[in-house]
Amino acid sequence: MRALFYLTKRTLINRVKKAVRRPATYLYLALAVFYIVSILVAFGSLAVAGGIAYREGIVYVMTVWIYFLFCANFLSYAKLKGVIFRPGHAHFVFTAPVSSKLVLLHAASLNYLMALCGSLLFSVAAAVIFHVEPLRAVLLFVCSFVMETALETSLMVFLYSGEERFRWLIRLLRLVIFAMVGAVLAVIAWYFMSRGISGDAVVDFFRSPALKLLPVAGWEVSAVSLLVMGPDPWNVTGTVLFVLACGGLCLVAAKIRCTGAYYEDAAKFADDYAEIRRRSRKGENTIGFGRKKLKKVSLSGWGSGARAIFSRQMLEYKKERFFIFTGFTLAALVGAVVCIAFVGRPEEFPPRMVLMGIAVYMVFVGTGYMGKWGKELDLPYIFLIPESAARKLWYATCTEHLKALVDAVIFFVPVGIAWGTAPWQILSIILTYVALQANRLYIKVLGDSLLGNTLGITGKQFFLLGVQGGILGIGALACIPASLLINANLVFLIAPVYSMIITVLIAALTVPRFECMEQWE
Amino acid sequence: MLEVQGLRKMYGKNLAVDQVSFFVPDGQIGILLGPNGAGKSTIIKSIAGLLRYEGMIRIQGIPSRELEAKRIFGYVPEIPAMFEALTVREHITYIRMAYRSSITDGEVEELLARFDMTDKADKLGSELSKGMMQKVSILCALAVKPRVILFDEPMVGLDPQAIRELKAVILELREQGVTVLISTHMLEMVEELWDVMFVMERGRIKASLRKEDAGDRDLDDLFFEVTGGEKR
Repeated sequence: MRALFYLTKRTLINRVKKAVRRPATYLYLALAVFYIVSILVAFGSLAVAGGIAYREGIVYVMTVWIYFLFCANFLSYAKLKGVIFRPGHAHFVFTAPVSSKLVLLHAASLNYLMALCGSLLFSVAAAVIFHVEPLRAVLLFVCSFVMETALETSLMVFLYSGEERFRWLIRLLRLVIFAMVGAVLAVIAWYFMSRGISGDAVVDFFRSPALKLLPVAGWEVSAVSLLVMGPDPWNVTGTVLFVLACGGLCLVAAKIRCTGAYYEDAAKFADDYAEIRRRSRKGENTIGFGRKKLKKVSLSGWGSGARAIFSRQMLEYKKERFFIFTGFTLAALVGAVVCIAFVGRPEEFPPRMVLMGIAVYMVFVGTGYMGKWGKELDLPYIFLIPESAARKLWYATCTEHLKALVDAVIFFVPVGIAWGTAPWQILSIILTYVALQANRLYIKVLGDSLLGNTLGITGKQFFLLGVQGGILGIGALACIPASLLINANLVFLIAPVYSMIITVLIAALTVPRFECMEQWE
Repeated sequence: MLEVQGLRKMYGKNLAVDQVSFFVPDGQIGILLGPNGAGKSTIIKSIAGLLRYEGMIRIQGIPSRELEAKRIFGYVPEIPAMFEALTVREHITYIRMAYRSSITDGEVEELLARFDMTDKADKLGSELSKGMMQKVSILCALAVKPRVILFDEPMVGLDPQAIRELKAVILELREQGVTVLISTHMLEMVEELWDVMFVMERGRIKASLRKEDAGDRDLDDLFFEVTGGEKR
């Protein structure tokens, strides 16, 4: 255990030493503080708006949290994916003479930290927003952190240690959890269908004794209710059951024999997680673990020279399950359905302006996401192809332009038609969107070539956001006065022309940098 | 000594290793040879305790999953994976603590010097090149002062000086009575090292041979004789 403590201590010290030297750390810290305060403020305003800014309100909020956390934790631990290991663990820890149970308890330290933060946040919210007495809030923090951690850790040890011997039991429990979640959702649906959705119905639902007596998660809710509201027959029964469950699970965790059989899955998960982190740093899509299954396809009519880059990308996309369609395409589709079926034509603002606003917003939000383009720049054979940099840059980004066009058409054409926007205005919005999305790619090249590794990935992301934000801001400064003072329709002329000029300008700046791509490091 | 009996490992429905048994006595160097996908790394990982398997593996007579067995066992994986925020020296200190190794500070410094790592000892894991990571991996395995040591493709990524040093270290380990098992397909690198070799093909041991029975034939000849390939 001493060795594992040493590992944690030195890792922490070295990380802190490295972090204090980076300006980005202070920015992150400020953002974290801002984020926490924002959560508390949002909590408060939601509680007031929902009419639950009184003591019992924290029980309702924690009920949702506890049910969600318990089901999510159980399912991830049952799949042996709830504890984050690193490839270094497989090399230096799994092979070391350290008890595999201790290895597990040590690796889960991040989980304890999360539990600590969650408990702290809820306790502060309880005292500040929900008017719970400070002493009860402290008690709530201690109990929820200690009991929650004890329960979660014991469950984790049981699921990781018993994965071979108790496979049948774990499968059964997983089924029970799914059945329980399904039953709760069905009851919620039935309840609100029969009573209608209203504040009173929601509060009555949360007061239902059934929610306090469902195994484990419900029992924990009982304990919270007992601490905040004082005793009633249901929460006392639930709390007793919760304490017994915690004690029993702790005993099982202490007694169960752990052979380290989980190392195989943990090592695989460590590799997958490292890959996810690597992709995430590059701004790629990181949903889903493991390797993707690719289709077996061929491509006829390969292009030559720089066109070969485009052909290769198309072949790669043909092998993908959803061709060039990504999460953004799905979001565009869902967004279109929501805007048409649920939101309806805006009344307060002109719909065409709302659509232009959505286009600009989508561009800004997607600035950091690079998709395959982020990976493309790592391929050295792009700059080895004997062609002009301009052609290579164009063909290397061609599929991304196509993807942006598809996403834009899927969202803006149906919504524009449904909201009664003129076709030329829809076309203008689509052109603006595609040009600005292209701009994002070229700024990325510019940022990578100018900054190299000096500011790190975070620095490059801020550069990207800063430049793109600046371009969008200047565009807005040009469009808004023109639309207000001269003619509103001028926006649909200025925006695409401005976007295309800026994009060509940035691309022109990028081409010479793309020429010496191999020297960026 | 290292003893593997009836080792069998399946990945889903694929049988990777089938009823593999072999024995490497104290003070001998065993070489696990075979083409890509023969099951060498699966055997090494099973011995290292990183995989679930059927069969029995013993290190100095102790089942390999026991902590006592792990305490006298060193492992150099094919692809080293460092802790990003730990320096080279801290990796070695961690190993010394985890294994309660009897290695002295002087011996650690000597090892660092032998592998030309003295001036890199305070570099973080994230700052190391692949070759340096391989050296750290070897240093850590040696810092255990093992009775049994496994090397999975140990020469990959090493510079010629480090390869020469590693070969010398392996021969010294043999002199000290340590059991060594090396998995590789770089035959020329282990030519002068081996005492016993196991040739694998499609998850099975196709042949095992002792050096004294090999006569004048070199490792290349023996390997291609067994696998049916042709030496060029």
